[in-house]
Amino acid sequence: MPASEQYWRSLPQMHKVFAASAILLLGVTLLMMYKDESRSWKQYQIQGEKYRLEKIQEGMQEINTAEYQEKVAALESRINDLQSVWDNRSEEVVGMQRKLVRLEGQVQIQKAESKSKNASRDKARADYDLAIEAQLGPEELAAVLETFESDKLVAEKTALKYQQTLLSYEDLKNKIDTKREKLDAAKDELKQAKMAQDALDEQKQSLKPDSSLVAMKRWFKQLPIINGFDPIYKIQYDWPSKLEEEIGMVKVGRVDRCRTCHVNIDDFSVVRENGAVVAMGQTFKSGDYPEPFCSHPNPEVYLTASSPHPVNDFGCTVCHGGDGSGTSFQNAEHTPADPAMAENWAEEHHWHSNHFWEYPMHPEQFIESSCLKCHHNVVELGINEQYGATAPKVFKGWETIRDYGCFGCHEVNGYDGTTPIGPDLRLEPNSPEELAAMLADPNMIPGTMRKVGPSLRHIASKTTPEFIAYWTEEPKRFRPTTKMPQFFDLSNQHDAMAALLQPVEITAIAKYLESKSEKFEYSQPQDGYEPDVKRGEELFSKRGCLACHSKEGEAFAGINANFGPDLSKIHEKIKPGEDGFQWMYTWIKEPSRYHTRTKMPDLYLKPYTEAETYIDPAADIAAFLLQGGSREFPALAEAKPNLGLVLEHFTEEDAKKLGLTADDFRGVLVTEVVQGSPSSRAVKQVGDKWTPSPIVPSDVIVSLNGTALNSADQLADFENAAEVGSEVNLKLLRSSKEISVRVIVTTPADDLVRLFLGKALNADDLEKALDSRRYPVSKEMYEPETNLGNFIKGDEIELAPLAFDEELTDEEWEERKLVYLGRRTISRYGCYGCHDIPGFEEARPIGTALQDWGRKDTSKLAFEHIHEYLHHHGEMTDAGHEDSSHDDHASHDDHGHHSALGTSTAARVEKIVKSVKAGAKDVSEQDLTEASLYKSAITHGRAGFLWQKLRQPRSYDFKKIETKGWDERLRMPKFPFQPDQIEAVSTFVLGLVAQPPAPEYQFTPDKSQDAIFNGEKLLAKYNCAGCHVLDMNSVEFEYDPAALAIKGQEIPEMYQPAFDLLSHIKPIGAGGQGATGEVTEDGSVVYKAKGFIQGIPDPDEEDAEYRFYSYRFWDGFQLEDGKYIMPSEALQIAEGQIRAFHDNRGGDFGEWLVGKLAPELSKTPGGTDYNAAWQASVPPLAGEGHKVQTPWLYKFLKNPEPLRRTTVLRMPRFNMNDEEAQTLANYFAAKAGQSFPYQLIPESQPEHQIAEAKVYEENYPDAEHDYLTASWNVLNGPLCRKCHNVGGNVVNDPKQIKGPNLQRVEERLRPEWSQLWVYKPMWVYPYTAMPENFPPDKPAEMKELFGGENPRQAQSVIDALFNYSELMDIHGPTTYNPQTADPAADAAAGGAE
Amino acid sequence: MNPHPDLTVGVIHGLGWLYLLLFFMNLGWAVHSFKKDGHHESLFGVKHVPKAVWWAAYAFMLLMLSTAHLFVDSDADEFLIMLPVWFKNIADAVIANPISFFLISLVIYAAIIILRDWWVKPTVAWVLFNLSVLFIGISMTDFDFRQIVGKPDNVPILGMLYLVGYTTWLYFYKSKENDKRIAEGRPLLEKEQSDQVLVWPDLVYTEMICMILLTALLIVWGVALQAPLEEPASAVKTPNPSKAPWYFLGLQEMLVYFDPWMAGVVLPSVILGGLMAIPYIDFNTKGNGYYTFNERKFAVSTFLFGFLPLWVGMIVLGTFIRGPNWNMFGLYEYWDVHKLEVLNNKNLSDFLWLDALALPLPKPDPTSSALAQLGAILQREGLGLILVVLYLFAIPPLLAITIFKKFFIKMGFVRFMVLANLFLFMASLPLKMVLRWTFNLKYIVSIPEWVFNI
Repeated sequence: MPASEQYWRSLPQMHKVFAASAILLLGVTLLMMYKDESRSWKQYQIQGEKYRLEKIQEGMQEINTAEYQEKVAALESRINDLQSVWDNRSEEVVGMQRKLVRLEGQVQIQKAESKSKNASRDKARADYDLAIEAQLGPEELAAVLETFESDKLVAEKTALKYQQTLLSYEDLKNKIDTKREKLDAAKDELKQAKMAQDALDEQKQSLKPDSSLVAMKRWFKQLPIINGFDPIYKIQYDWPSKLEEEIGMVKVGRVDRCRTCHVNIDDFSVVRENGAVVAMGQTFKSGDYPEPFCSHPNPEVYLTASSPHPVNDFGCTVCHGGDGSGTSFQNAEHTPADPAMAENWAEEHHWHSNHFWEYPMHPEQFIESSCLKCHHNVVELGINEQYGATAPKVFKGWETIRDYGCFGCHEVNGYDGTTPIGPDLRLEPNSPEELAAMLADPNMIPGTMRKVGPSLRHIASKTTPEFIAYWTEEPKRFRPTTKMPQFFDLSNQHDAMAALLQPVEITAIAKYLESKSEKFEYSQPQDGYEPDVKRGEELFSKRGCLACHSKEGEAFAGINANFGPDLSKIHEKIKPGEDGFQWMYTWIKEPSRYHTRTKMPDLYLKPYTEAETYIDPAADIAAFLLQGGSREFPALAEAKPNLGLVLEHFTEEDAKKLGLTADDFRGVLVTEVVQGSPSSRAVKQVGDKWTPSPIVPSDVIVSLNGTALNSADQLADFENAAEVGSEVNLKLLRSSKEISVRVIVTTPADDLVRLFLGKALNADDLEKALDSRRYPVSKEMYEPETNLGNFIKGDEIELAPLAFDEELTDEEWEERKLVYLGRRTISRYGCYGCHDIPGFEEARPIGTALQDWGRKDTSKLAFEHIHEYLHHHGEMTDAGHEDSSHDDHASHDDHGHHSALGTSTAARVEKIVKSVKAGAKDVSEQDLTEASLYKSAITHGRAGFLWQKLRQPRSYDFKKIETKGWDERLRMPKFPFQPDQIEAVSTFVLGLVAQPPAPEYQFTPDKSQDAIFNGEKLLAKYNCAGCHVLDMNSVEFEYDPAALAIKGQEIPEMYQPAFDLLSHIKPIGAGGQGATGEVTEDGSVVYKAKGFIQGIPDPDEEDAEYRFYSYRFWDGFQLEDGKYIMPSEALQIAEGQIRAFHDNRGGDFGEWLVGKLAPELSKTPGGTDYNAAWQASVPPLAGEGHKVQTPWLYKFLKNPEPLRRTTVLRMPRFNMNDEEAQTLANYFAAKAGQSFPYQLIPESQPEHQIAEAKVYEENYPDAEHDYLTASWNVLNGPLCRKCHNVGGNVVNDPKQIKGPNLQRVEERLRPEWSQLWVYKPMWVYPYTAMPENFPPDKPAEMKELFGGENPRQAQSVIDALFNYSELMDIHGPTTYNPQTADPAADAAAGGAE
Repeated sequence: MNPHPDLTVGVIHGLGWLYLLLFFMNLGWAVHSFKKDGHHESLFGVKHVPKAVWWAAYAFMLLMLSTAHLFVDSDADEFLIMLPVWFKNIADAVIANPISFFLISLVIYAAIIILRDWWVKPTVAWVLFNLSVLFIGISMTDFDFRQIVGKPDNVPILGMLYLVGYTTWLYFYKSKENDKRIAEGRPLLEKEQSDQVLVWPDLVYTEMICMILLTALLIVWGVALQAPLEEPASAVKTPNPSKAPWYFLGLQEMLVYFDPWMAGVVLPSVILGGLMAIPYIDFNTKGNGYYTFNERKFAVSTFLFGFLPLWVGMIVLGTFIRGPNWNMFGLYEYWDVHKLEVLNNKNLSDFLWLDALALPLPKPDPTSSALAQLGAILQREGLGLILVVLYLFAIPPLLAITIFKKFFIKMGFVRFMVLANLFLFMASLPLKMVLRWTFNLKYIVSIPEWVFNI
C-alpha cells in the first residue's frame, strides 16, 4: 500500500507527548545518577577527606614554629652561598661536565647494542636446542653451533665495551660530584629538616593540590561517569583469608567493606622515642570526631600491623559481626546499643532492625563476646600483662559461670571430638575410673571443672533434714551471700498446685538425702580434751581460715573474704550434739575425708604442745565455730490430705452469672481444680458403673458427705481431719443441675507419685503398683549376681522392693514414696550438677548445652508470653517483691493482679527511653542497657532471652503453667546475680558460637604464656591470692621537691654487682614505678610506688598535713633528679599528699594478719612492729619465680613442708593434682621470665668451680684452703650459723630469730636471687630480719678467708650453699671459728628471709 | 517503644502525600465533570448548579484530609484518623476464612458480569477507584496491613490488581458499546473508526513512546522500591511461609487441596494444554477483532471464572492472606507463627472404612503378590476411583444431553468431550475446596503406596 498522508492521531500532539516522555526519561535517568552519586559512603569519604585535610594543616602549623623557620632559612642561605660558589666553577669542571654528557649518550647507545647482541646470541642458543630436539645430523648441528659461537663472541665483546664506557662515565661523574659535595650535603640536610613537613605536604597535595592543573585533573576525575574509571572515592575492601563466614550452611569468603565509610578507622598517630614506637593513639579521637570518622580505639591491640589483630588479616566483621559487604548504614546491619539510639538511627539513617541477617553487629555491650571465637582459654582476656584486661566483661562472665557452676547443668563443651571450638567448661568425670577411661581414649578429652557445691554424700553426718529443707527452699534466707540459686517460690510456683506440691518436693529432697547419706567416720580429739573457745577464735583468725571465709565479729573486722561460705551462722546448721562437733572437727582437720574434691585445703591443724599445754587447734576452732549452738529448723512439711480444690466465696452475683436462680444460691464456687488432684479424678455413678467425672471450675459444691458446705474453711477443716483413702461424696451444681460425685482422699505426695509413676507405667499397672506397694518387679531381677539397676533404669528403682518377697508397713511405704519423690525431684532440678549426691553418679547435666548457644536459631527459643509478662510485670526489688513505684501498665489490665511478679518493666523502659530522648544526662548506662535488653527480649533476640532468663528464669512460664503439666514447668533456678553479672554472663554465652576460625587465628599461647594463663586459672581456683600478695600494693603521692625533698642516693660502685642483680630481679622503675610524669600546680611531683604501710597516722591528729603514714617501699625507683630510692627505704607521707592507695593484687588476709600481729609482736607496749608482723604473716609472692627452683616448688605445693620458723601459720596442702602443681610451679617462673621447668645451677657445675678456683688461686696464692673449702668455712662461720641451722650446727639461742635451715637452699632457691639476698636482704624483703652480713664497704669479719674481703665472701657463700650436700659429704658437720672474730658483729640480729 | 506501631509520623506524612495526589486527580475529574456532566436543575434551592460541584466538594475534603496528615509532626499515637478496630476485626474474620474469601471472590466475579452495564460507566468506575484508594489509604494506618501490602515485593502485585481491574473495565466498556451497536444494528465501533492499520508513524511512534515511558517507570520503580534483603537461602532452614513467585501462587494454593502430583504436574499441564486447545474447540466465529460480551457469553464467563476467582483471587490470597505455617491471616492481623489451625483431614476411604463400616483400612501386604496388593488397594479406594471415573466419564455425556445439548450438536463428539473435560478439570478445584471445607476431605483417592492421590 502506498504511503498515505493519513494519520490516526494528530502528529503535533504525538510530538508533544514524545517530547514530554523523553524529558521524563531524562529526568529519571538523572534521578538515578543522582541516587548513585549521593550514596552515603561517598559523602562520608568526602567529609573524611575534609577532616584529614584539617588535621594535615594543623600538623603543618605545629611543625611550622619560629625555630623551625629559622633553621630552614639558615640552611637555605647556606645552600645559596654554596650554589653561587658552584655556579662560578672552573673551566675545567665545565669541560668535564660536557664530557659527561657525551659519555652518557655513549652509555645509552652501547647498552641498547649490547642488549640486541645478547638477544641474537640467545636466539642462536635456542636454535641449537631446537636442532637437538629435531635430531638433526651432525653437520647441520655443527653449523647451528657455529652460528651460536660467533654470536656469543660478538655479544661478549659488545657487553665488555658497554661496561668499560659505563665505568668511565661513573668515574667522571664521581669526580664532578666530589667537587659539589658540600652543596649536596647541605641540600640533604634541608631535605631531612623538612621531611616531616614535606610528608604532610605530600599528603595535602594528593587531597588538595596547589597546582591548578593537578586540581583540575582531580576535579575532572570526580565527575559522574568519568569517576567510573579510576575513582578517587571508591569502595575499600578487606579480604581476610580463611576467616570465612557461614551463610545458609555454606561457607563463603569474608568480604568487609566497612572501611569504605569508616574512613579514618586505621589512622593512628605514633609516639616515638629514639626511633622506637613507644605508644600509639587515635589520630581521630572518638568524642572529638563523629562516627564514622574516628580511629579505632586501642591500636596496640587492634588494626595496626604490630598488634595481634592487624586489619588486613582480620577484617572487621569477624569480631564486630554485621554484614561486611553492606555499604549503606542499613545494609551493614549496625546494631544500636539502646532503644533511644535505635530511634535516633531510624530518624537519621532510616535504620530498622533486620532479623534476617544471621550475624547482626554486636551492640557495644556485647562486642567482647566475639573474643571467644579464638580465645578459648579466656584468661588472657582478663589478666594480661602485655595488654591489660582487653575483654573484662567476657572474662567476668567466665568467672561468674565458673564460680556459680552453670556448667553443672549446662554443658559447655569446648571440643568437637578433639578439635577445640571454644571455651571448655565441663564437669570432671565422676570417678577416677571414668577419668582414666577418658584419658585412655584418644578421642575424648575429660572435663576439668569440679562441682561447685559441697558433697552431699555424707550429709546426714553433718546436718539435719530439717535444715536441708529450710535451706533448699530459699538458700539466701539462711545465708544472704550464698551462691546457691533459688529453686522454689519462684514466679511459676505461686499457684494452688505449687502450694500443694512444692512443700512435698522439698521434704522429699531432704528425705532422699538423709536416707541415702553414706556412713561417715568422724575423727575426734584426744579423749578428755577440753576445747578452748577463746583460743579457737585466735587460731581461727591466725591460721588462715579468713583468707577464704568470713565471719561476723569484732575480731574479724577489716577482712571479708567470700571465696568460701560465710561462717557467721555455721553453728546453727550443723547437727546438734557430739556428732556435730565431731563432724566439724573432722572437716576442719581433714576436709577431703568428707568431700574428696573439696577445694578446702588441709591446714595442718595438728595437735601440738605449747608451754606444756596440749593443744588441738582443730578442736578449738570447731568449738569456736559451733559456739552459739544449733538452731531448730521448722519440721519437715507433711503432706496433708487434700482434695485439690480452690474455692471462692459464692455470692449471689456469681450465681446470677452462672445462670442460677436465687433458690439455687448456696454452697461454694470452685474456681480451680488442681490437675492430678483427687478432685480431678472424681467419679460419678451411672447405673452400676463409676465413670470419671472430674470436678471443674464453675462447679458449685453444695454438700460434703451430706452436710451442707458453706465456706472454704469448712472444707479445709474437713481435709485436715480426713483419712487418706477414705471416700468423700460431694454434691455439685453443674450447669444448674445437681449431681453427686465421689472423691477418694489422697495427699499431694500421693498425687505426685501418681503423676510421676504414671509416666513409667500404664494406668492399670500404676494402680496395681500403688496397691501392692511396689514397682512391678520379677523374680529374676533378684537372682544373686544380678543388679536391680540393670533392670530398672529410672528413678522408679526407689519403689522397687529391696527383696523380692519384702512386705512393707504403712510407714515404710510412705517413706519409700517420699524417697522416690526426692529422687525424682533431684533428677528434675538437677541438684547433682553442683553436688555429689549418692545415686546420681552417672546422671547427665539436665540443661541445654551452651557451646553453640550464641548462634542458636532464635526461632528455637521459647519466648512464650514474655512480651506480655514484661508489659505487666518484671520489676522486682531486691527483696523479690513488687516494686510499687512507676507502674503505668499494671493499673488498667487484668494481668496485673499478681503483685508478686512485680510491676511493669515496659513502663520503666519507656520512661528511660523518653528521658534519654528528652536529653536527660543522668540516665545510667545500666538503665540503657536494660532498655536495650528489654527490647531484645520482646523482639525475640538472643541477648534479651538470656537477660530475662537470668533475671527471672521462670517468667517464661507466665500464663503457660495453666496448660502445662507439673513436671513440664521450667526448672531453671534463680541465681543471686547482680545486673552486671547478668550482662557479663550473657556476653560470655553469646560468644559461644562453636565456629572457630582457622587454627592460625586461634590464640595459641607460647610455653610461658601458657604457664601464666593456666597458672592464673589455678590461682583463682585455689584462692592463692586470698593469703599471698602477688603484686605489692602501691601508693600514689605528691612530693614537693623544694619543700621536703626526698633524699635519693647514688649507687656506690661497690654496690654495683648487687644493684645489677636487683635491676634484674626487681627492675628499678618497672611497671610505672616512680615519677608518673605529672606535676601539680604547686610544683609537686607525683610519684607512684609499691610498698606497704608501716605506720599509720596518730588517730588524735586532725590536721591532714600532720597525719603521717610511714610507707616502706617494696621496689626501687628513680627520682626526678636521677638519684634512686632503693627498696626498703621508708618515707613519711602526710595524708594530704596521698593521692590514692592502689590495691595491686592479692594478699588481703596476709595484710590483715600483719595489721593484727603488728601490735602483738611489738616489744614496746602499745607500739607496732610491722617488720616482725610481716615476718610472721604470709610471704608475698611477687617475684617468686626469681627466687625458687621450679622442681622444688612443685614438690612443695604437693606437700608443703614447714620452712620458716617465724610464722604463725603454715602453707596448707591443697587438693590439687600433679599437673596442677606443675602448672602453678611453672607459672611463677614464667611470670618472672625465668627458665622452667628445669634449672641448671651453674654454681654446682665443675666448670664454674674450676674457673672460680682459678681466680681464687691467682688472688690468694698463699691460701690455706682450696676454694670450696674456704667457701664452706665462710658459710659455717659465725655469721650464718647464728640464726640458721647449717652444716650440722643447730641454733638453740632463744634470743635469736631463727632462720630457715640452709640445707634446703641447694634445691630450693635460685643462685642469682640468693646472691642478691646475701648482698642486700632488705632490697628483697624490706621487712626482713636478715642483716647485711657482708657489707662491701666494711672489712670482713672472717679476716683470714678471702683476704678479708666481704664481696668475695658474699659470693663464696653462694657457691657453698649450692654445693651444700657435696661439701657436707666431704667435710661433715663443720663449725668454723675465725681466730680474730670481731665480737661486735655477734650483736647483729639473726635472720629470717 | 512499641515494636509494631500502627502509626508513625512517617506513615502519616506518606498518607498525606497520597491524599494530596488523590486531591489533584479529583480536581482534574471535577473539571472533566464540569465539562461533561451538566447541571442539577436545582440544588438546595440554588438553581442550575453544575454536577461537578460534588466532585469539587469531595476534592476539597481530600485537600483537608491531606493537610491534616501533612501537618502532624509528633505524637503519632494521638492521631485520630485510622481504621476502627471493629472494622479490622470483622474484615479479618471474613478474609481469613477460606470459605468467605472464596465466596467474596465469587460474588465479585458475578457482580462484574451481572452489573457490567453499570460499573463500566466512567463515573461509577471513578468512584470505585476512589473508594479503593481510600480503602488502601486508611488501611495503611494498620501496622500489619502495612507490613504485608507495603512490602516492596508486594507493591507491584497491588499495582497488578489495578491493571487487572482496568483491563477488565476496558473490555466491558468497549463490549457494552459494541453490544449496543449490534443490538441497534449499527456498525461496530472498530469498523466505524477504521478498517486500516496505520503502522507508520502511528503504531511505531506509539510503541516508542510506550517504550520510553515503561523504561522511565522501571527506573523509578528501581530507585524507589529497594528489593528487600531477606535471610540467606539455606537448605536446612526454609522461610516460613515459603512462597512461590507471585505468578505461581495460584498453583501453590492448589497444593492445599490437591496432591503435589496433581497440583504441580497434572493440573498445570491441563491448563496449558487447555489454553492451547481453545482455538480448536471454539466454534463461535463471532467476536473476532472486536469487543463483545453478548456474542461470547459462555467463553468470556468461563475464562473470567478461571482467571479472576481461580487465578488472580488465588494470587491475592497467596500474597496477602497466607502467612506463617500457610495459615490464613486477615489483612489487619499479625502474622503470628504460633497460630495453629486444626488440620484433621480425612480421605474418602477413611470415611468409608473407619467411620461408616467401622473396619480397619484394607492394607496391601508387602509380602504378597502384586495382584493381591492391587486387590487390597482397589478394595480400599474403590469408591473414590469409581467417583473419579464417573466424574470424568459420566458427566460429559450427561451434560451433552442436558444443558450443553446445543454445544454437543454444534461441536461434535471429540471437541465436546475435550471441552467438557477441560471444564471438569477447572471445576475440580472449587469442588475440592468445597469438599475440604464441608467434610474435611483430604483425598478422594489416596494410594500413598504409589504416591498417587486425587
